[in-house]
Amino acid sequence: MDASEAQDHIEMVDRILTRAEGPLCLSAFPFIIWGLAGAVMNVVVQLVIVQHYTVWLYAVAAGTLFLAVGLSIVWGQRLRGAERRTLVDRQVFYAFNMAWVIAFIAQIGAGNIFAQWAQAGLWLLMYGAAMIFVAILVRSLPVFIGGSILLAALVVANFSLPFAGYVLAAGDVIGMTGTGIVLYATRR
Amino acid sequence: MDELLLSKIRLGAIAELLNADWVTFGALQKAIGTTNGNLGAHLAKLVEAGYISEEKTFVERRPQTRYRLTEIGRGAFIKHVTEMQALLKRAQ
Repeated sequence: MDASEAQDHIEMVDRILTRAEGPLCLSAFPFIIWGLAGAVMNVVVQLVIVQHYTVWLYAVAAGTLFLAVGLSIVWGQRLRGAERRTLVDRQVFYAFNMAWVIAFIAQIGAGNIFAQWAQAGLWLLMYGAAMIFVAILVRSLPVFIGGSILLAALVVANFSLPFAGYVLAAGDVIGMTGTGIVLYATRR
Repeated sequence: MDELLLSKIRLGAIAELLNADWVTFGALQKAIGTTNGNLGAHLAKLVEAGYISEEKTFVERRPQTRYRLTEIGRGAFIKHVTEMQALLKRAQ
């Protein structure tokens, strides 16, 4: 190989790598769906625990959870048809799924420790942390702000316990669904 | 230099896979811009050398072939590019 050929090959590699490092497009779908699902569940918990509405409202929460899981599975199946998956896509996928699995296990298996509002707070904490991690990974300001809003909602809820469910629900809607809407509106 | 990576098509395929978890045959073909048969032959050589791995799957009942870069391939690519850069430096 001579120098001009090496130059040509290096330029080609540069072009490919520059294209691959372009801005990453996070899908808006999971943010919108899980933000709304989280909000419904927090409102239900508020109505049952604080306002003493019937516990049958938990059926609404369970239905919402199943709907969100179902929609996520359908969405995941559609993604299988993609032509490529980047290393960052994989990390984002694992970050959100691990957040979901850890929060779910803690909620089911450690209900005495994570009692009442701690259960709802746990979801915001895990998703807030996952969103901030992903935001740093993909250098996304909307996702970073969304994750910060989730964590801020936790702090605000801590000081407004009579309305904690509504505050956490607002955190879900603004922090997660809002982020999803921004991602959708600014998609390329 | 790495004999296998002296081919522009094989080098391009490895570069395409560098930041990817996996890439389908179709996407590689689009990115590199070569014929099915030609790309298939080049990729087969990379698979044989252990630089990339091949995975056959079905998506909506249609067969799909995906490729991933292996650690051996990543190491060979980095070494090859470093050697090309050294060659350029010497020539300047």
